[in-house]
This record gives sequence, structure tokens and C-alpha cells, in this order.
Amino acid sequence: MEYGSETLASLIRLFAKMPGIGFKTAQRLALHLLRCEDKEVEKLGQVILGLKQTVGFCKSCGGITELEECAICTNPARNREMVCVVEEPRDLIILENTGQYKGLYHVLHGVLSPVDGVGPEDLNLRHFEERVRANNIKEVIVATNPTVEGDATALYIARALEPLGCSVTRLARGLPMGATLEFADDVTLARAIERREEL
Amino acid sequence: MRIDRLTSSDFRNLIHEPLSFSPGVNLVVGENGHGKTNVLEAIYFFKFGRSFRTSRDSELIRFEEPLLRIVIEAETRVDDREAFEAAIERKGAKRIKLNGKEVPKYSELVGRYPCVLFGPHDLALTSGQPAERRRFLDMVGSLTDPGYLAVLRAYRRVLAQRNAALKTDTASALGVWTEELIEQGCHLVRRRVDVVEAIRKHMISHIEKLQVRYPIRVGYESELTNSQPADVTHQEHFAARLAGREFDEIRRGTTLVGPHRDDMTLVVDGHDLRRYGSQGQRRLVAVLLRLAELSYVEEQLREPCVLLLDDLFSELDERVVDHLKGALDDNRQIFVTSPVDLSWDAAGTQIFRVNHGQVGPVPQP
Repeated sequence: MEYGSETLASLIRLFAKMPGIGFKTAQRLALHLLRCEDKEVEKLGQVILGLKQTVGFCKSCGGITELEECAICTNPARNREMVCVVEEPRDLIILENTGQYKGLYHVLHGVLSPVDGVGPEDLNLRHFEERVRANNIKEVIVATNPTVEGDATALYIARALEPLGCSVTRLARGLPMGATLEFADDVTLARAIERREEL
Repeated sequence: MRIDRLTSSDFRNLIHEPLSFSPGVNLVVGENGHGKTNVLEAIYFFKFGRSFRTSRDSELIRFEEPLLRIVIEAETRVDDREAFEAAIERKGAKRIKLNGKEVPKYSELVGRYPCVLFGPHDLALTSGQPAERRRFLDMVGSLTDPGYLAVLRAYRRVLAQRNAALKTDTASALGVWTEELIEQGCHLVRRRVDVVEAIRKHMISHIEKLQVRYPIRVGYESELTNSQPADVTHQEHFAARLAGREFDEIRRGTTLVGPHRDDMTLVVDGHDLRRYGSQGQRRLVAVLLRLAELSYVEEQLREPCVLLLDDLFSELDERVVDHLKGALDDNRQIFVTSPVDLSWDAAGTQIFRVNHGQVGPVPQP
């Protein structure tokens, strides 16, 4: 396509690579920036540049932070005997938004998937055992996704922690709150029946 | 289910005005190679959103045309007026619509469009590789059990992951993939055993009606269930089997034990049909398996299936043919292809003639 500017064209291509952004949206974003005030675009550029330099991952949990340790790990009000293991920083944010969980986190940055060449050594697991032991953690909640890969990763963690004797649990699966049976898919429903609860 | 109308454009070599079908017998006659089976293929398409002859959708499009369309109007258990539409482009885009709304996952079609096809390729059920029989069990299972497809997919996914783990040197995680394989594998074996049991049960009445004189036994053949000692669980037995083969598995980089290697046994008159059966027996048992599928699926879905009989009568003996014709008594709609005009004296039989892809109804005297 002809834009009259290679810079504009390459910006569009870069936008289009991003998740959730198609070619048309990429074009709209780029043209929007072209019309914006210089100051605004400069600020955006600087923030993007700073992103990789200032934002990193917490050395204890792998969550997002600009410091060495994240705000959750350093918060004395959190329950330090409980760790919730999640696949991605995104999952941490979602759980955190519920406001229900007061413990600590551990972010794996992926799941086991030999098909994609991801083994345990590619996940943020190296110091996890040590972290659980050294901090005297009593319960580990594994909150990986209910996929084949998420299940295998959960199992791997459970096996690795077995010798430590702490409790390892998995998020419950079943019917979503507020949903009626009518709209539940067959697989979820079958699973919910299989793992029903005593009243 | 009852199929009322078929409209198609650029599907294989077919050229026709919208075809209105009889609720009873529809005979599709014409010379070989002129496109009789193509009519059945178009009708069958919505069972799973694909052809029974090829997995390459582009092969279904008429030579040099960019896209094909098929529209089926039918009366189903869900609604007395349902429209199934498919559009496939040569470039690869494929859209299936149900009542004007796009179906994002074809698994939603499963069980919505009950039909059973009998054809020459069924011989593969009794003479072909174990994979053919596994596919049959998985197909019947997913039609009758909503969780089956999910279990099958999960097992295949774990299997692929475990095979990859065996090849790459992530031996530290192999253990968890083995555990997952055992869990999903046992789910799958349990469901397959149930399907075989249902098939066995439903075959009995057909065996009687066909007056077959020799005993026919079907069973599920699995390294996991067949040699299992009584005092261990399926899981333990599977684990022991895998442990015994681990060295081989790592050397060959593939999983050697599990339901992906199982089979259905077919024993006729004390002999393994897969190896020692005569052509006639193989054909007969293939038809019996389809008949069992038919009764079982109908029992589960509580709806009569549409029967598609592809060039079947030339190769079967009269008793079987009569029995199949008798299926009409149960108020099913039937589509039959034949190279010769069959005499089928049922009221309301509609004949269609296929000539170089041109399909049209033959006016009744």
C-alpha cells in the first residue's frame, strides 16, 4: 500500500503486529498520531522508550515492578504464608482486582509445553522451591489455566513441592457465578457434575 | 431429522435446481462417475462440517471456480425449519451458518444433524487399520456423549506434548506428562469401552433380524484393559506399562502405550475377522456396525436419523438388502445411490437422475 511515507507505513506495520490490533486499527492509530500535537506524541514515545528500561520483574515473585521487589512482596500487611502461582502477570492483575486474595504471588511467565520447547527450566521456577522453604510458606495455590498445559504445570509444581510438606491446592473449576445451567457448556457442566460438592 | 431441500452451486460437478426430497425413499440413479455420490456427500456435509471422502475442502469446489455453496433445509428435533449453509473458498476461507448465524466451532454441529452413511468405504471398518476403528468409536462417542470430544482432544494434546517431551531433553518434566497421559488416557479408555458396549448391545437385534448363523463378538482391545491384573487400578496398570517401555519410548521419541494404539476386536465364528474374515463376512459386519451406530445414535438423540446408502446393494446379499429396506418401516428418510434403477416399491419414492453432474427429479407415472 502507498502511504507517501515509509515512516508511516512502518509504524502501521508495527502497530498491526500487536495483539488485538488488525490492519485497519493500526492504520487509524498511526494516522491519529500524525494529527496529534507534537507534545503528546513525544510523551508517548518517551513512555514507550522508558518501558523496557524502568519496568522489570520482581526478584522474589516475578511480578511487574519498577523496583527490585514489587509492592505486593514488600507489603507487610499481606499474608506471607500463602503463595498463589499464576502463568502471566496478566493473571496476577486479574486476581488482585478481586480484592479477595491477601497472600503473595509467584509468576511463572509461561506454562510447560514441550511442543513449543518450553520445559521447567524456561519458567520462573528455579528459585521457587527455595522461596517456599526459606519463607516457611504453608500453602501454595496453583492458579494456572484449566488447559492440558496448565494442568501439567500444576502437577509439576505439586510434585516439586511434595518433599516440603506444604499444602498445594488448585483453583476450583465448575460453574461460573451467576450463570444459569442453560448457558453452561457441556464440558464445564460435566466437570461440575463429576466434582460436585456436598451441601 | 428430515431433509427437505438441497441447493448447491459449484459443489463438485453438480448442476441442479433446488432439489425437493421425499420424506421417504429418494433414489439417486445414474452411471458411474457421473456424480451420484456427490449428492450424498453434499447432504452428509453438515454432520461434522466436512466431507466423508476428503479432508481437503478445496477439492470439493468445481474446477476453476472460486467458491462453493451448499444449503440444506431440514426439519430437526430442534426446529421444524432449519437452514444449514456452507460456503468454502478456494483460498481456504470456510463458513458454516446455522439459520443465518455463523457457527464458530463445527463441534456445535455434532448431534444437530443426525445421519448415518453406509458405503463401500465401510469395508475399512473391518479390513482396514486399527485407526479406522478408533475413528469409528470416537465418532459414535462424540455423537452420543457431549464430553467425549473434550476428552479426546485433551488426550491428543497431552500425547503431542509428551511425544515432544520424549524427543527434546526436558526429561525433568516427562513425569508430569506421563501422569497427565494416564489421567486423560483412562478417561478416554473408559468412554471407548462404554461405546463398544453400546455398539455390542445394539448389534444384537440386527444380528437376529438378519438371521446371521454364526456368533459375532465385538470388544475393545487395549493393552491397558486386556492384560490388567484384577488387583490394580487402570491408572496403576497404565503407569506400569509405560514404565516398562520408557527406554524404548525415549529412544524412539514417541509414546508407545495408550488408547491411541487401541483397536476394536471383531470376532466372527471364533476367528479374528480383521485377519481371517471372508469378503462377505467383512462386508456384513461393516453393515452391522453401521446399523448399531444408527440404533445407538437414535436412542441417544431420540430422533430418527437420515440414512445415506451409497452404492450398497450391488455388493450385499438379499437378506441384508431387505433388512435395510425394512428400516423404512421406522419412518426414516433414505437416500440411495445406484447405477441401475432399483425396484423399491415404497409409496412416495422419488427418483433423481444424475447425468454428467446434472441432477433432476424423474416425474412419477
